[in-house]
Amino acid sequence: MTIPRDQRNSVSEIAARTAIESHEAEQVAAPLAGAVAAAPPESVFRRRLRKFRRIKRGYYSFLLIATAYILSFLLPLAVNSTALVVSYQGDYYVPIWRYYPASTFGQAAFGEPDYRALQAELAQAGAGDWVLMPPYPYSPNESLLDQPGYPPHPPSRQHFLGTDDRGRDVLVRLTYGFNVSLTFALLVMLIADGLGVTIGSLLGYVSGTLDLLGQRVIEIWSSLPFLYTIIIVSSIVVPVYVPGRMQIMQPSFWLLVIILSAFEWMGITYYIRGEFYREKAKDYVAAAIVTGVSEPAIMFRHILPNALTPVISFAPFTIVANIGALVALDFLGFGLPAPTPSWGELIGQGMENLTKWWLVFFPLGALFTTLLLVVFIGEAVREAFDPKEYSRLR
Amino acid sequence: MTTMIFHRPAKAGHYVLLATLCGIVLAGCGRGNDTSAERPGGGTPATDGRIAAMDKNAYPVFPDADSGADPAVAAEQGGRGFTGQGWQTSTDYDLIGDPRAVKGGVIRQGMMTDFPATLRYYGPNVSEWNLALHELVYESLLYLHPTTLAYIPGLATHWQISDDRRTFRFRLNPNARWADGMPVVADDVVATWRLAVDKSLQDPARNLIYGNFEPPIAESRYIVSVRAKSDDWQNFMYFTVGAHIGGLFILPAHALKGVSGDTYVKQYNYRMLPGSGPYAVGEQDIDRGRMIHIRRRADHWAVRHRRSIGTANFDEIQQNVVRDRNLEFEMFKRGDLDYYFVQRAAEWVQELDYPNVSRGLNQKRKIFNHKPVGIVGLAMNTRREPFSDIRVRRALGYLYNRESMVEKLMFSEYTLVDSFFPASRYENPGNEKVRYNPERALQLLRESGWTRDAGGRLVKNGTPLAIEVMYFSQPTERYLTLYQEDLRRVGITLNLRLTTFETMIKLLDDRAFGMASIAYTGETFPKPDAIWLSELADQNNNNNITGFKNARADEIMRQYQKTFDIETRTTLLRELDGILTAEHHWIFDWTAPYERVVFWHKFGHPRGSLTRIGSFRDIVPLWWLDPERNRRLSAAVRDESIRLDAGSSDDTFWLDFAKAESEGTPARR
Repeated sequence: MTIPRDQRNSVSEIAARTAIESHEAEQVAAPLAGAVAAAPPESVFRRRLRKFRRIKRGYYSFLLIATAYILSFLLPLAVNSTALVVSYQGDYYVPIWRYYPASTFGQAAFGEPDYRALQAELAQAGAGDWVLMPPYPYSPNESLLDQPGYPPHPPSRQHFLGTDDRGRDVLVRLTYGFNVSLTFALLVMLIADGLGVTIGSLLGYVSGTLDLLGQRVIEIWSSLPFLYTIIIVSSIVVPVYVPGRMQIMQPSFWLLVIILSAFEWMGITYYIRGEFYREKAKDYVAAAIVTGVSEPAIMFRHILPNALTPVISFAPFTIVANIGALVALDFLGFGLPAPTPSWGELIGQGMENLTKWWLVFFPLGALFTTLLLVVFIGEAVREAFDPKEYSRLR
Repeated sequence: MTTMIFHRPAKAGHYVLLATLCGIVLAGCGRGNDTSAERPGGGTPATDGRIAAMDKNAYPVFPDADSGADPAVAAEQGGRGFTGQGWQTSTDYDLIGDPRAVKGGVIRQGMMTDFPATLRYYGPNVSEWNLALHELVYESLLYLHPTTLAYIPGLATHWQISDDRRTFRFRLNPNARWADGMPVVADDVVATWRLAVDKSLQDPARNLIYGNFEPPIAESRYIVSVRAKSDDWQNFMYFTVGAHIGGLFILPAHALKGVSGDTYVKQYNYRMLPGSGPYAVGEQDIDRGRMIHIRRRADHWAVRHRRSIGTANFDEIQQNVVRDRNLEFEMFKRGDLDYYFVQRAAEWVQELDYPNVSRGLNQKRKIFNHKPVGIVGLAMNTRREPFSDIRVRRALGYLYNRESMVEKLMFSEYTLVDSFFPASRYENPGNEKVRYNPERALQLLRESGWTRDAGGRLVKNGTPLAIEVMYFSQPTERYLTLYQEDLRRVGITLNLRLTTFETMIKLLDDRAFGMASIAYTGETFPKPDAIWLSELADQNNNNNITGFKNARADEIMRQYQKTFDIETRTTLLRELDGILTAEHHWIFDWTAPYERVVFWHKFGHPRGSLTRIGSFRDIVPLWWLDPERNRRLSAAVRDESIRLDAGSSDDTFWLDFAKAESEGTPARR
């Protein structure tokens, strides 16, 4: 993994050996012990992955979350009030893809047709026209005020988890909210960790004055109250909501991702900086320097892979924290602007309507389950990536 | 109700004072129908066995005449023997409280906000709560009778208004005493005015109102005069009346000696100067962050005056800080609080059906009266596109489906507003009733040049129709998202922008908004020139947020401020209302012409439950702990088989009263 592969410089024997010693001693030790060295030695990463798979609880949690997340991108096909295909008077229409005014289908409504009503109408007319609706034909922002009774409606056969305080289907909002929450958490993690790792590496590798100053700047930055900053930003920036566009493609979504990332990158710098301090004193770095490898290459190609353990083992917990942050912000109303489907907003509604159990129980349940699964993944990752196992030579 | 009661911060050029919607009318009144029934504070109430006379004439307006006067002051100087000739007064007014009220007991209520930042009323950081407190502890020169809105005597027995309507003279009641036993004298009025105009008080709105007067002159111990700098009928009201409109409460000069506005603001946050009213708050009564005990004084000087009869009945008013509404409701249900003010229709309709309600232990009451209703709705900044076009404004109004919101989300509990002076005598009956009408809206938009593009959006010159609404109250969001969906369906994008209250005020003052969901508190006596004058439209930092300009409206408003006759003023405001609504600067919401409360069935209250123009806060000064009901309640709490009379949940006394009044047969309270 870390053997310099820069072919412009001849790799000296010393360099190779020190690099092996530095980190991969164990790998090389196995073939030396007499085993047939036919297959290439399994990398530490693979072994860690194998170990992760063995930890059932974490592994299945991972599979569950990953599958659910990937499937959640197909939600508009499965959970939506816009028809997938309409066959009307011999022509086929694909409303999921294109906008048709209500008049296209002879509806008296203004603007967009009501496809559920259209489906019923066409079925009743019996003229061979039909509407193919998604299996759960409700949209996240649609207020279903035509239901009997008053919203919030309790769970029923049409609305499995009931409706919220303005008649929007809770299940629909929870599923779309899952996609939004997880995408948000992953994006924030990617951006924040990317920034944190880069800065941490620089501080640790360059050290000296840059490190001293950098550390102070980070200290000052991390003392900024994040919530107030969000509130201030939200009063300056007008949230732009683009109707019809996916939640995660909304400008306000990205704005919040960037703001949160800007406040989250500091934590990881401490670890990366520490790792760099430790690693750069090792012989393989010295060897790389001797062989004339460029500094960025040393930092990112040689040291960084050895310093990533904290990033990976913190990742699930970072996701938990990010989902939590989004829920908290939405609960306070300063997260994603209405009407973004959001768990925090639903939990807020639950608090306003404590007697409507489905508004309290389901959003909290969804949040709890998701966070629990992610924590299981985190536990497993931490165990699989435990560096102690590989730091002992004996 | 969209519950966005909001008071304009003090800004140059206007007068809107705190707290006029929920002001307690005549809270600061005396106690007791009879001194023989007097009991020291904290005792349990009991009927005194005598039947209280219901006739107002059994209760003198000026008991003991001027027996407490300083003999050194001559009769013509307001001293003993003062005849009142050439002065005005009122001795024919009806009782405000119920003479059958019994003194004693404790009422426990939840404070719906944090612990108050200060107990003061003058200076910064005050709210409606401070006004309510001062109505209990202090008094003003005169009062407004809550039923007739006529002036009645307070600390002053008589008053004079000069022919040019600018000089006012008052003769103080020589019997009036401060809590420390000192007499109330003309210097007290002068000192209070000085405090109110003190720049270091950090209260620019009050500075402005009282800066409109020359310094008052103490002509004698009991006579004080003041001259206003302008001819405006509201000058007299702001100088004389404290309660309800948020005017001047008189403070003791002897305690204010050497206290500048600055020291007052710093040192009297949790310390109250002695008052002349029926209640007092000592420093030991303040449990910071948790509760305040407001205690009845045993020696209120005006306890036998007609205005005080049947009011200020509780020995102690216990105000608990309960930061959460749900918690407050649960505390009420458990019996830790005595009443609960129901703000949400869903609570009223769906949650007040527990056994204690059906058994009559907790009484539901929807009390209809004529409390002033504010302006509630969506204000549009007509300085901006697309709101500069009245057709767009009207179209947006026709797309706001209030009927469906009220019916589906609020259980049809509210009535739609169609006026800037809703449900008041000033409402113009000819105003257009804007209702959901998408055909009409789309037609207007077409006329205005908006066409539909291939994506279904409305566009004009290639720009889609996108507007932004600013709001600060999260509960409002559910109406706004409904509106957003309705607009989306016809191809209009609505962006929702939640801000903090402070940010919203700032953006409104800077005119940096498109549409804003806001509410102004209602006023019994509106002051339209603080909002609608054309000259305010082009300036920032005032209440003309929508940019309203109309020459005829300006003329009406100028005339209105100079008109002392209420009938003429009513005609003027009706015309103004017609002009204002025809411009469609606001999309109105809905309102409730009543107050909803639920309370433990142990109280007595006057007919109508509240005063004619009062809010739920009238409970504290007007209700009393009924010993018999209290006994029955205690028994019913112990024995679940006992049912108490549930009573009618609607109290329409004031509606019937108004009906009788309009038919020329005014009912007796």
